[in-house]
Amino acid sequence: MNVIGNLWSSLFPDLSGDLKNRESERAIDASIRFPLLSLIKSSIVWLILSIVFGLIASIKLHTPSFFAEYSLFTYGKVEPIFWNTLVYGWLFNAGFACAIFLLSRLGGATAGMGLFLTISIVVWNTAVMAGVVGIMAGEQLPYEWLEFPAFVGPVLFTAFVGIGFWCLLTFRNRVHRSSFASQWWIIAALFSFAWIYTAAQVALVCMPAQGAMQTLINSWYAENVFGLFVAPLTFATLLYLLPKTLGAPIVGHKYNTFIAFWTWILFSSFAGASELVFGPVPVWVSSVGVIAMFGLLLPATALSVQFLSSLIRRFSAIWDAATPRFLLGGSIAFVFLMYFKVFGALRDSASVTQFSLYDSGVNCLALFGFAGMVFSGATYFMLPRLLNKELPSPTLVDLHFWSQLMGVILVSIGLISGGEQMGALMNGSTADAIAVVAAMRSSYFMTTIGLVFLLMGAVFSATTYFWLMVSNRTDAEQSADLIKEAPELEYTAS
Amino acid sequence: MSNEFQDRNLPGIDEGQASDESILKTHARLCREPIGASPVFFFTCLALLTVTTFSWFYVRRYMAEYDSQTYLHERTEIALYQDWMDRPRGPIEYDYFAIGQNLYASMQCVGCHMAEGEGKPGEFPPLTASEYVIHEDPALPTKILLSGLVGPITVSGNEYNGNMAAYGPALKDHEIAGLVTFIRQSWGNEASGVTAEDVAAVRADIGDRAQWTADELQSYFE
Repeated sequence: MNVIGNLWSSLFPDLSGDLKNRESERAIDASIRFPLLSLIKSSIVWLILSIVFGLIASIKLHTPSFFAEYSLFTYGKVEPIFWNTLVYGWLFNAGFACAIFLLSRLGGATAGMGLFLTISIVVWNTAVMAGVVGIMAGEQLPYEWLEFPAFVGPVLFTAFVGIGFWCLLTFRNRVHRSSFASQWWIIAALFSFAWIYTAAQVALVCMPAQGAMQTLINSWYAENVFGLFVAPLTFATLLYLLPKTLGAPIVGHKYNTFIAFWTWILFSSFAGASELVFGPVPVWVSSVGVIAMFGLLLPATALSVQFLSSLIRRFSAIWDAATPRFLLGGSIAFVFLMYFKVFGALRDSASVTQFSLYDSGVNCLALFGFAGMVFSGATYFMLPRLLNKELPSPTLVDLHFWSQLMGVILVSIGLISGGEQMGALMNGSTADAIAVVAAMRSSYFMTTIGLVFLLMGAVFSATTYFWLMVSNRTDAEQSADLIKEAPELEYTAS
Repeated sequence: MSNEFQDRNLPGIDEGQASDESILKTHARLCREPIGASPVFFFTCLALLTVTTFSWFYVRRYMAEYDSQTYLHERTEIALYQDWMDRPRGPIEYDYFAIGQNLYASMQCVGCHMAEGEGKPGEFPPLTASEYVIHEDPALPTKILLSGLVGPITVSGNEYNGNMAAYGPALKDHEIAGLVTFIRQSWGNEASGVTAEDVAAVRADIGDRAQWTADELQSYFE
């Protein structure tokens, strides 16, 4: 097998056939091929690494002696590495890939400057790697999702500014003048992350705020990494891929445009304070957080009804292709996620779930279930177009879907219901710590099994990626006609 | 492997069902439509109603400023405080000896006249058994304390030449009275005490003046 030759032909396809077919789209895909492939590759590698660390952390909860003799694998280091690689390694890379693809395709042009973009991506991933090494060396900071050592912050931010700047230039270069909701969500996400990251770095690392302010800033930041960056990119991807793969407009698009967008941005930026219910802050601060979190019910309802009714309207199409079923999985996860987020923030539930594994479970549901599912689906949509090749084995994609779904369900049940159980047990004033841990063992086991499923899914997607890159280009794949031109989207009043 | 099974497999490529430009244009057109009945609209309105109602009651319950219970609670506290401030009060009763004892140690007195009132030879006269201190008229030590004393002085047959500052401007009447009472009743001295009213009378009598000299006070010993 001529691996080098196949790899070369994957990266630099020499196509024959009707080159007029999809000429502009192929030109766009070709100009962002390198950055996107490197983003997708990095995201898959980080995902596997992250789940391995997550597995170690999870096994330690029910078998504390596991890896106990290595200081590198203490729970205090493994757990932050798991979350940080998951967020900054996997979801940011996958999210960037979706943002770049969507902006280029919807704008009908790119900013060029592929080398600049690729360098920014390399700097980003190097910074994440440096951060992981820093945590292993014991240099971690004590803030949730900001555990990377202080020197990583500016590098990470510079790389982000590079990628974001490229995206803004692409948006500015667009040839289709009207804009679509996906583009708004992406632009909002880019500006929001620049804002929350500088604010958190300045207020926690450069000029550290004192006392209870630190927890407030940290919970604000951690909530907003999801609420103002990961979730908007996921919405953008869903809003683009639903009409793209189902061939029908988004249901109720009119209401999405203003209500959902603005209320989500408004409420999400305040929702972080709800984590501090019963915490060392004035009552009104956490109350504002709870109200903002409850306000998210409004955009969450609008968006989930849109997503689910768009999907259900073309239900038969869901099982005919890989991407829509991932979108369905993500949309259903979104409904459950918002339920647990909104009603878990109320004081009555927080009195039970505070300081338990509940929040980790909700985060897992958000990252693996909602964002992860949608980004995986988008990856399977993008890869054939970037390489002009068919997915080598749809069975692997199928397996990826079902193992990821299984993993999300098991991890969520294990951590969310386990967290509730744990909180209820610990609330007794005479709670016996060992008895609580013993009662939690089955939940911990379930989480570990779920993570194994997630790891299998990640390995399947890595296999697909690797196989796609090195497989021999067939005759059909040498033709520019491999991917059919998409029909016009029909206008149907909704 | 049958054909049927193969047909159920996913395709290698997810076909695009809509071109990018038409997605933009169709959705832009949908945005211009008038508002009509739609499941999204219905559920969004429902959610808006829920969120508004919830927030209204939650704000009333948990934003402390809007809690009428808190206000009532604060009002009773304020009323209790006012009652305490307005409680009936009689004339103040000073423990002059204790006030003087405290001030003697905490002010400069102890530095020159020393802890047992023995003074420093040639410089600062003693207070113990000093004729100036235990004079039958307590106005004499009161005057010295109020306006100070400078120049040569003979106490108990010994010559001293020092300088004592005026403490009248710095201390209140009851404090002066405390100090005078203390030095007249300590270390074996057994003279009468003074009150704040006595000090006030002396203060009014001598007014604002320069330090005394021993000659000016000779009238007390004639």
